[in-house]
Amino acid sequence: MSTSSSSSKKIVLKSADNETFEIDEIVALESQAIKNMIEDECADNVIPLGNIDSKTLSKIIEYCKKHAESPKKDDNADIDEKAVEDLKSFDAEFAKVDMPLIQDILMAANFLNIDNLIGLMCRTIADRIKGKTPEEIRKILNINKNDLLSPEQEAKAREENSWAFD
Amino acid sequence: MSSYVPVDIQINILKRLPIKTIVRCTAVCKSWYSIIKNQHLQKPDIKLPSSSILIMSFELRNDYQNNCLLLSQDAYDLRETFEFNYMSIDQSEGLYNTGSWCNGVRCLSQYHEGQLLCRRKLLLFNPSIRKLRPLPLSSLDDRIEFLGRKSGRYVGFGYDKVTDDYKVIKLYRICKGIRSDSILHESETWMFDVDLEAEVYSLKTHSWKTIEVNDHRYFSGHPVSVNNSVHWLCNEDDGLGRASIIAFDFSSEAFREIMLPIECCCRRLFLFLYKGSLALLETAEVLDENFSDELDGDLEDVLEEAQAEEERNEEMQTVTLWIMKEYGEKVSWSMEFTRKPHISFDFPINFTENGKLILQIHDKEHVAWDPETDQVVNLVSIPTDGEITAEDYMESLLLL
Repeated sequence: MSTSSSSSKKIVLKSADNETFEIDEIVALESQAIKNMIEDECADNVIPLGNIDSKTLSKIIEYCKKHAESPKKDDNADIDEKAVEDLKSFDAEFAKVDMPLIQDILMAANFLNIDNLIGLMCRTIADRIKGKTPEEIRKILNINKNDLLSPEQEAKAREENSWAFD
Repeated sequence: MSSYVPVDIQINILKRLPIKTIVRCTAVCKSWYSIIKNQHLQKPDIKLPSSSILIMSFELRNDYQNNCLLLSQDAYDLRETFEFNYMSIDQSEGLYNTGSWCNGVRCLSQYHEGQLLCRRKLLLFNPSIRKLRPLPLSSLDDRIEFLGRKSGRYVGFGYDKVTDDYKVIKLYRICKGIRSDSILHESETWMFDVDLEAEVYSLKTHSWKTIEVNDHRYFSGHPVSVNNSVHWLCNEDDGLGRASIIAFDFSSEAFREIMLPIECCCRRLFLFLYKGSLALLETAEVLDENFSDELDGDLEDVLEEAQAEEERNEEMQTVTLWIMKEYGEKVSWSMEFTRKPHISFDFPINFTENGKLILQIHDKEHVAWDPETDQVVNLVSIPTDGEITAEDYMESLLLL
């Protein structure tokens, strides 16, 4: 059902490091941004993605392929539980990558407007920092130096809610 | 995380965290400090199922602490307990409940022995982040102090979705004693002029403003905040003591009346929130005929009455719940159930999310009663002689 007549149509994505990926249009349509480009007929055969490297892009394509193949919730109210479980375990496996790649995927998913993937990456990040101390969180996320609080500011933040830092 | 991550993405990550980690994240970096402090994570419309019941106990103890207990929704076992201290906020002997609760935040009042009501500051308390914020005193408070001691205060707290603001309404019932020095009267006489005056506080402006009230009725019981409004039961001014509901809309800042499904006086009525709807609970005692005859007898000595009182407590109580299915529509009141619990109770405290009713039974013990099955579960003993409140625990960052 999900692989309709449009399955024959191909879209080529080009990464920042000039690698090209040929994918079915149905897979590309998982991205709301690409979908809009195609609908507005401003997509040439090759869509350049100057801010996404090939490593990140191949992960994103892997995700979109899987999700394009899976039956959508709004297609059919009683899709079988197995498909839902299958997709869930795919997502869980998919998210088992290091934090820099998770952040790259998140930024790319945000650029390409892939809602489910944004949610999955945000949830993954939240799961990894849950219950951690500020020091641990800064290390896990590799917080940009310019964004760090001064020692006085940090002391103030801790003082304001000392109960949370026990 | 790089600083060019869009704010909506950062919010998307933060809102998935437990509240304690969110609060800790204020110490992680500048951007998170400002996102979290600026209340971007507030979503009062989204209500997640509550996993706990929050019990708060109010006791004017000398160590300036009050208790919060978190009980699980299913088995009512104790999960967490913490005290809240307000000595750092304000010099006062204690805090008491004004009865008003909205989106996880409760409005309290300061208590100091011998202090006039109008000198007792109101405070907002968010138990999920242990934050207390005193509200300023107002010009009305000053005026009430000038007018004297004969006054009562009603306080309602709620959310105004139009301005995305939290508001408190404070009403004073003022009994102005006016001495009549008319020469027609030989002795001096006193007349009492009763008046309601009100002010509304906005959390955004942190200030009070006066609003018009054209009402003289007596409000009764704890208010219920739902649907942009706060509701009280009140007695009609018709001499019959009939009850109705008076609602104050936080957006239009106007009062209106909501009719009850039944004619009854306030004494046995309670307003609650039941599964998101405004609900009216009526309790009554079922007396058997012999018992009524005895009461009709001509002679009622003290002993007999004491015995009657005892018997009355032994009698069955009925509990009837009415729900306003469509808010504001009188015709939508419908009876949800009427039951006779197998235990006797002093009074109902609140409904929990799963439809159980928390009751105070004799000796300050508390139970959760299931109207469906008539099953009763004892709550942990709550170390207080004072009032307790019970509601579905809701995490909120308000007041952070």
